[in-house]
Amino acid sequence: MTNGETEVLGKQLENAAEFLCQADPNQTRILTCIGYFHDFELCRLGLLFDIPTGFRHPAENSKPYIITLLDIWSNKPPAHSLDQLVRLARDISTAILYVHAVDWVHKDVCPQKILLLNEIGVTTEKARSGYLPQAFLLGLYSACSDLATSYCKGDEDWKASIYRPPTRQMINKTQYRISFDIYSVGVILLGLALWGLPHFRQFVDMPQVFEKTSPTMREAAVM
Amino acid sequence: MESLLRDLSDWVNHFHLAYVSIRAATTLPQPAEIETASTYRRVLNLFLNEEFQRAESLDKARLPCPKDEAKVIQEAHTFALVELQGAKEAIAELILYE
Repeated sequence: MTNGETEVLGKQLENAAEFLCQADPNQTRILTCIGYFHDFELCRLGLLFDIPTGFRHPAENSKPYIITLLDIWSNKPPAHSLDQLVRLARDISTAILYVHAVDWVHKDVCPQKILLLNEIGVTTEKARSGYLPQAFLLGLYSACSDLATSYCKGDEDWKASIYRPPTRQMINKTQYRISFDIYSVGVILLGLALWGLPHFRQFVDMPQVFEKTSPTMREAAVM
Repeated sequence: MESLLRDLSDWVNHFHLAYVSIRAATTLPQPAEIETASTYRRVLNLFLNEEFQRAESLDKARLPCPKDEAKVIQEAHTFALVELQGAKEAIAELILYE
């Protein structure tokens, strides 16, 4: 990454932090940003988010860890109730709705960007027996105004392209639009609905469907 | 079904109000928030390295690997739990670059 590109990314991050520091996580399902940083020495930058009141990260034997929707999808079929799955779908949609309400485009809606947090008071036993944590959307560092110039960067990694519409998969450089985010939410909701069905595997576990195939072939294979 | 429709109706009303509030809020100048962000930036720059080293003991597996290993895993984006001053925990979203 050139110095210029790093500077642009840093500026994007700063804009995102100013926007995200206003988020009310309980209402928007977007975590409140409490700061951002650019660590030139270690070549990393990022955003810091507050853990919402009433929530905590999961822990196993007092060792805290972070889980995303992708992590729990990788587990065995769920023991979650339909109510819980609907709530999760609603939370994800809510977060995206708020992003779009201010004319922003997320540009990378995928299960890896959906963070799950336990409500305080959930016991380890309950967490193991079908409790589904609550979802919060992250990954807004690359978000920008719908009207802003998109850098039209593609992604050669098929796993990163699964949740993007065919016109924006792989190295296709179409400008990102709000409707693309909505497509991504649709793919996540599809995954959520199919989760647990016999013989269903998550999309990331189907390389033969996505690697070296055309968008039309992918659509035919998945649907 | 009736309950579902009622929920849906509440939901739509809720979002309509929230949408209006957000629209109103975002058209106002926010000097306080901008100042807050820049203040945090200064504070973070002071203790960031130390904080991330402490975070490594919290969740080593998910922390970004050293720069020279970044190419191997091709993972440029990750999350980490970090402990801020005052033992307050926060979630860091990290982007690595080369």
